[in-house]
Parts: sequence; C-alpha cells; structure tokens
Amino acid sequence: MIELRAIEKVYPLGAHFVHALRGIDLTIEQGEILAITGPSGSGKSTLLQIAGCLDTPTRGSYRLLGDEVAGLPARRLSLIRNRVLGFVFQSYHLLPRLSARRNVELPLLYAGVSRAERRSRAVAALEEVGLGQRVEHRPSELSGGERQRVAVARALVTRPRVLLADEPTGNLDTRSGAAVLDLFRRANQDRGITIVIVTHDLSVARATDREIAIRDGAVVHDGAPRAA
Amino acid sequence: MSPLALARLAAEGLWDERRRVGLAAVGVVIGVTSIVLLISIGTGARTYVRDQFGGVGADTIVVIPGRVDTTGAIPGMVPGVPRPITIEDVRAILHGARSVASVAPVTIGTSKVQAGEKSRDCMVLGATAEFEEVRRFHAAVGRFLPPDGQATRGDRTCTLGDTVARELFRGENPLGKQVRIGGMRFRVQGVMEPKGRQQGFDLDELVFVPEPVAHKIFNLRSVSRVLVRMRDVESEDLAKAEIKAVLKKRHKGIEDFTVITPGQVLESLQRIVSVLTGALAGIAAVSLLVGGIGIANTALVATTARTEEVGIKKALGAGPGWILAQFVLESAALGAIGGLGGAGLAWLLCKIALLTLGKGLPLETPAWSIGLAIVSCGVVGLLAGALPAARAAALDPIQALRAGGGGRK
Repeated sequence: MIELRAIEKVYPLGAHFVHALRGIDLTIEQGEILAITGPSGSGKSTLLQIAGCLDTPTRGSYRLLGDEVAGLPARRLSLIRNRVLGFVFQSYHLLPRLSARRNVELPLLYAGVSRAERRSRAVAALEEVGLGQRVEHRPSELSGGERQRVAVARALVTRPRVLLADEPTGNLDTRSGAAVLDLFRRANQDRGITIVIVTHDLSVARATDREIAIRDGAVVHDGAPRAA
Repeated sequence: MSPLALARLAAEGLWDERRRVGLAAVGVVIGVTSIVLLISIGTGARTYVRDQFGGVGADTIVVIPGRVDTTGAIPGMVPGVPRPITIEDVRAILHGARSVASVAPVTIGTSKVQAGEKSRDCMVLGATAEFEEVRRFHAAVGRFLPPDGQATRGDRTCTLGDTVARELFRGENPLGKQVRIGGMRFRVQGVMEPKGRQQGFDLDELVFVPEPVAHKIFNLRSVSRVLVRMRDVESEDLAKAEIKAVLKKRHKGIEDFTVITPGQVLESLQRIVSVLTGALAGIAAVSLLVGGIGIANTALVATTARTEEVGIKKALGAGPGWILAQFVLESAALGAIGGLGGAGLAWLLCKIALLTLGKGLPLETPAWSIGLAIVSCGVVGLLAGALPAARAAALDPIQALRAGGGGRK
C-alpha cells in the first residue's frame, strides 16, 4: 500500500545542499507493523514525513494505495492526511487550550463529521486508550503518557489506514512507552491498521515485526528487527 | 466545509485567545468610539445649523439696506451712504412686485424695558401685523401689532416675548399692564408663543412695538430689514428681480440694497455643513485606519504565535482553505466585536454628556452610524486579517510543527 521508488530529498542549507534521502526504495504492505530506525540525522524522520504526505520528495515516486501522490497540491495532500493517515509525534502536538475530547474531535471537524458524531466518536476513542475518565481534561492537566494516549486516540479516531509515529516513546518513561506501543499493536491486530514507527530505540523496534534501518539517507537493513 | 462550522471555529479561536483579542478589541473600540462620537457631533451640528438658520422659511426673501456682494464689502462701506429703505419703499414692493404675497418691515434696536421694579435690556423690534404671518411667529395671548398703516408714532402698545413676559411679571397676567421702553410708557396687549433660539438670537427675549414707534424710539429713518413672503416658492428668481426693479427705480437707479433669497442662504449653509462633514469624515477614516492596523497587528502576532497550532491542524488534515477561513473570520469577528463595543460606548458617552451637560448639546447618534461602524470595522478586520491568514495558510506543515519546539531530533 506504500510504495516508495528512488525517493530523494535535498534541502538547501545556506550555500550548500543536504541530501537527506539518497534513493529510497521501500514497499510496505497493508497490515504491517514496522519500525524505521537510524541515528540522529540519518533521514528517518524525513522519510516518515514524506510517507505521511507532510513533505514532498525532491525526486522519485510515491504511490499510496496505488495512486501517485508525489507532486500533488497542498489541498489534496491535506485531504489524504485527513482520510487515510494518522500521526503521533514525540512531543504530542496537542492544542493546549482544548480539552482532550476537543483535541480528538479536531480531525473529524476537517472531515466534515457532524458535531454530535464527533463528540461520541472522540469519547469512544478516548475510552479505547483508557482515558474515559479524563475526557474533559486539558493537556496541561495530564501526564506525558496520558497526553501521548490522547494523541493516539486523535490519530485513530478517523479510522485511518496507516498510523505514522515519530519517536512516540521518546519523551515517555518505560512503562508509559510500553502502554503506547501496546495501543499500536492492538490497533494493528484488531483493526488491521498499518503501523510505521520511527525510533532510535532498538527495544521499540523489537516490539515490531520488521525493521528498516536508515543511515545517511539510504536503507542499510530491511528485515526482522536486529538484536541490540 | 459548512459556514456554520467555520463560524463556530472562529468563535472558538476568539474565545481561546480572549486575552490577546481583548487587547486588540480595545484599540478598535477606541477607534469606533471616536468615529461614532464624531458622527454624532457632526449630525448634531447639522441639525443645530438647520434649526438656527432654516427658521426664516423657504418662501421668504430678506431685503437689507446697503450692498453686500461678492467683493465682501460690508453694508455701509460702499461708496456713498446707502439710502435708507423707508416704509414707502416697503409698500412699493408689496404693490409693485406681483409675485410677492406679503411684506413685513422690521426695525431693530435695543433698549431697557421696565415693569415696576424689574427691568432688563431687550432687543426691541418695530414690526407690523404682517410679521406674524411672514415669520410664522404668533401671539399666544392677546394681540400682536396693528397692520401697516394703522399705527401712528404715538401708538403706545407692545407685545412681549415669552421669556420677557415671564421675567418682568413673574406669573402675573401682563395683559393691560404698563411697561417703560426707552423712557416711554407702553401698554402690554399680547405675549408671544415660546419659540426658542433661531438665527443666533432668542426670539423669546424680544419686545415688539408698532413700526412707526420703533423709528421714533431709535430715531431712525430706515427699516433694518424687510421680510418678503413670495406667493410661490418656485418664483424665487422672479420675485428677486421684481423687488430689485421696484427698489432701484425708487433709489435713482442705484442698487444700494441687498436681496437675499432662501436659495442663497441654503446654498451657503450647505457649503459650510459639507466642509464640516468632510473634515469629520477624514478624522473618522484615520481612526478606522488606526483600528485596522491594530487588528492587522493582532492577526500577525496570532499567526506567528500560533504557528504550531497551524502545523498541528495541517497535519490532521485541515486544508489551506480551513486555515485561511479561520484566521480571516477571526479578525473580521474581532473587528465587528470592537465595532459593536465602540458603538455602544459612544452611545453611552453621548447619553452621559446629554444628561450631565444638558439637553441643548448638539449631539445626535444616528442608527446608521452605529451600523456603519460595525460593518466597516468588520471589513477592515477582514482586510487586515487577510494577509496574515494567507501567510498562515501557506505555511509548510513540517516547518510549522518544528516551530512549536517539538519534532525534529
């Protein structure tokens, strides 16, 4: 369902150009749960952003669900992000002034879902991540682990085909991190959602079925998660 | 996206940012308050001017001795002393000009008016019965003055203005009582209806005596002015020409008098008022501009401070249209709220001013000015918000998320 062919990404940086990705070929099937690993600056986040239609490749082809998306206008990309993809970030990226429920409702608002349905689906999604009692709390009133679970609920509430997570456990203690990974695995097993996790933590990678290791903008390993 | 959902989004955005929005709204409120106050003062001034100078009536021509023309010469400064306009001239106008309905000569002077112990200085008008009709100013009790030709220089009757009667007689019936004017004794035969201020002086403070008597008191040969009522408002130019012809013939062909038509008066008044209105509109526009800059600044700060929010919303699938609409609506609503607040404040200030400083203040807040203030503030807000909103909508989601201090490792 995700097919990346000869993807390159070049950033201008002052007078120079940085080759963040140097020809990535990658196929991810529906229902996979996998990790993209690599050291800082390896290009793994850039790869996730391109896969998440948040960024566009400089060269190469990206077919999502069979359709070419490289070079689509911003309006079409936002529609794809809203209907097909879900995101979880390291620093949660919740809107601080909105309650957990209103945060989770946000993507449904852009999808044109009615107010009553938004509300009931958001509450259900929060219950699913174990926050049924914290629905009206603001992010500042929640712990880091709880915030990340709100973010997971927000990513899943639209029933996406793919969930993309960028260092989702990076700011969490081991137990909270494990709880978040558990939520990913459940979404993968129960609902067949494809899960892509970017991480530099090999223990996180080992919790998945497949590891794609990136170094200097190229794939150096693609297969079963490696031992630490 | 439905307009309702957008409006709700904008309302939420405003509520979420209520502190910053409040500060910006204060700027708009001040701008709008000044606009509505200026319009109130302008409108009040227009009404005041109209009431003050419009009282003579659209069908009344005024003739005064001496020549006032476009050279700006003051009557009496023209070469040679102007001929007086005599009572015979007045009669000639009535008989010689066919478009004239009636003629009221007026002679003006000031004198001490005394009744018993009380006295005051008054403007004394020598007039005839025709004055009542031409000037539309009537006796409330008793009689006005005899018609032209029926009074003699020895006719010692007078009619008092409302204020004069009340001050000199303090609730007593003045009819038949004696007053002294310029050292002569007069019998009060009438009191005028209250009329208030017009053309810069208070009609209720006048004392009326028969025309020939005024000439005797003030030792004059000429009437001060002649009020001429036309048969037809449309025949203004004809009447003016006829009056000029009659008087010139009697004044050896010299035009040593001035004929003022209501059209001329109206024209010069309109010129004054339009200058006044233009000046006020200019000030109002500047105020609105200042308010608009305030909104633009808030919108700019908002989009900069809310870059992360924009990034998050974009990541969740908000298209550029959503972001644009949200920010534009927010600033338009901000403008409208500021407009509403400012209009309300201005209205309140007007009421307070009228209550504390008196009803006579020329202040009027027309409803349209409030509507205009709100709508124009909304439009200014819309325009001021458009650029920052477009900037926000065009933000790259990755850059925007990164600006939030998270993300990149």
